[in-house]
Amino acid sequence: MPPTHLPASERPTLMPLIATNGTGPDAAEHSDDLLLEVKDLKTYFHLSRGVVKAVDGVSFEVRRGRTLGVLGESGCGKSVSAYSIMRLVRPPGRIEGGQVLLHTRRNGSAKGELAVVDLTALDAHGKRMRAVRGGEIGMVFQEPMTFLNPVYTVGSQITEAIILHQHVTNDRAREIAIEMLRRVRLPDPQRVFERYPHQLSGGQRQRALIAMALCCHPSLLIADEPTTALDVTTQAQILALMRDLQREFGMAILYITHNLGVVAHMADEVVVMYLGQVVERTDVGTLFRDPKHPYTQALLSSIPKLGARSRARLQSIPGVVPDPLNVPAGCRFHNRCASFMPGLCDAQEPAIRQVESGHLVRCLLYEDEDGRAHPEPVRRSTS
Amino acid sequence: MSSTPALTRKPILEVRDLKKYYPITRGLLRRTIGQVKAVDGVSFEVLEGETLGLVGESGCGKTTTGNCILRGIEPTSGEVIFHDASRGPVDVVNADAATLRHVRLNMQKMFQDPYGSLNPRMTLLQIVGEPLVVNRNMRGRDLEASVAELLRVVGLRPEYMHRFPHAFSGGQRQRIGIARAVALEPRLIVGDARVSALDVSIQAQILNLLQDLQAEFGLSYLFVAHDLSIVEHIADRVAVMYVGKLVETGTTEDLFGNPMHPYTEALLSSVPRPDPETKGEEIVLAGEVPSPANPPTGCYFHPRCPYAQEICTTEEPPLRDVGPGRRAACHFAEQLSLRGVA
Repeated sequence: MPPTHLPASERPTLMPLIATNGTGPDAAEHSDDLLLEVKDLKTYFHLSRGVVKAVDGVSFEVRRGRTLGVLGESGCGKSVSAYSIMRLVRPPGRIEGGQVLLHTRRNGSAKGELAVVDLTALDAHGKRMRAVRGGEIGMVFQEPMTFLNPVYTVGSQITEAIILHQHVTNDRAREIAIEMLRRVRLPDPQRVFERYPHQLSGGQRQRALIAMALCCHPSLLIADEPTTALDVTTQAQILALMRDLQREFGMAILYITHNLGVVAHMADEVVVMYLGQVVERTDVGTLFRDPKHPYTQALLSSIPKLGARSRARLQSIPGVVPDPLNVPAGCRFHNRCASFMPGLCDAQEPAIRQVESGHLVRCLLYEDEDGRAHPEPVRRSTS
Repeated sequence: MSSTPALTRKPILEVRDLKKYYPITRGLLRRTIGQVKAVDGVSFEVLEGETLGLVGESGCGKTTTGNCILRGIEPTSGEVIFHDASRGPVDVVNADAATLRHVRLNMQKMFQDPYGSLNPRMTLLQIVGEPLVVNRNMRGRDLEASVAELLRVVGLRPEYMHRFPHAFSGGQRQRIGIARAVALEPRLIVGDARVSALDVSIQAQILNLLQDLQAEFGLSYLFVAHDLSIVEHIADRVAVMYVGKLVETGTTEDLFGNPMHPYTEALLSSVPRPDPETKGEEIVLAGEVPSPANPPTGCYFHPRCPYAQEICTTEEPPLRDVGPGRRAACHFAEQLSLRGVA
């Protein structure tokens, strides 16, 4: 949707490299498609009471123009993963190992050439990382009010981000900002530009925050529970908006949520996390049709499904998520698991294995005595 | 939940034309220049042993309605009649202090925020035991025994009673709030069902607990909620609110299966379902909820309604009977065939 009030030469440029690349949701899976690779990421928090391994060997990939859903309950490490990618983890937290590889075509690489940058190796406060943060990777958060400064207008906060990342004049930044506010479908963008955050509703604030995240045309948008604080109708608006903008801008989305419904509607691929680890990873259709990990299965059967017309008791997962300082031995889920195999699950820590093409599971049920992976649970002869 | 058909049950709570207006003042003399009609003529009843879900978006007045019923805030006008076991029907709005105190023993509030509603400087024994100390004059061993039993009922270990709230997770705090609400064995619990703030696995545990308590104590619930999948699971009947007014009421099955107000349809369809196949089927409402200080003319929903006609902009539809046990406030309730959830 080109802005009508600007002459053609003045229109904001829209991520030319990505746009010409034509990476839609249907693009074939080239290695070229890779945008972000998280490899064996470990982020620990060193507290006086011990070490919390908030993210403990997490690996996943995000492809250009696609959406990866990160699903998990509180304390599973999904937000810390996002903060680690953005290098926003503060002491006592520290990235202890692993890599976050960003495949970038921007500054630092020859035009159109792919360069791979390990974000964990950069100085978190350095120039390069600051260019990535808010430039190539944008972020929207759960509670927009926390990330908007109440004493500055929405417009001045957006233009600040634009001037920081693009070398443009104040007037030009204002034009880009108003155009962005229009594209997130805020009514009367000129007026919103002059408003203070408290003068906007929750949904409008979230739109303004999305506008801010998108004004530098990031190739990756990290969305950390952006609709959790909103009403269902507003949530539906924001989800539809994000899908439209993704199509328009061709950006990839890393969507973090605990809501299974939202994942089903937003994600192409999903990783399910439990206590700092990825326990299952597959495409969204398979996840809901054929979940393999007992934790994923339990999650799916513990939510009331709209239209089910059933008043039967919900199958709740017994117990609570264990204390992260005191992670159970063996499989971390074993003490809440319906398929718990004594002597095995509490002794041996399962590795994540591919059980079917593109379907990875961290569970001993799918592994035989010789350590081979199987697509269906294996009956093992245990004592 | 019980097998008695809903229509033959007696009401335990009747709300008639409840209104709560807040004045908008301006200037040094605080002249009233307008009114925010937070709750504007709401009528419904809660039957014995049933669960009524009051749903709507934030700002629709559902929480204010709940607070007016307990007279946590004073309603502007209307009647709230509680059918007390010993005293018969009591008008809560005009009750004197002694009567109100009696009614509130039988009608308890369950708070929505498990973090803000527990005093961090009180132990569980004090928090859960307080209603017993104040109303039953319980002390010492009796009190500890009663609190231990309550904690056991809600699935907490009695040994925890000397701990402070900070030692508990969100789900456990919800349980503490529930234990306090059922301490005096009330007949009706008015609660904000904010279980959606909880993790999925914990949410299921709490919903199951609420159902168990209802079966065990014959409780009635009035739940103020916004998560429709939870309402469908727990409520026998549902009332939908929009900008201070009820727009549709009915049994959960009728209302979810066959909504008769376009707002209900939109509300149902905007819930993202845990099924990737339903992607893109939702109705996305344009615009936002109008301010109750400055509502639109005619039907309040008409600026966002995909079916709005000329008449909707001028004439306000009354909440009228549109079937057995079914009311809707739409001019075209019978003509429209709206999509529910099957």
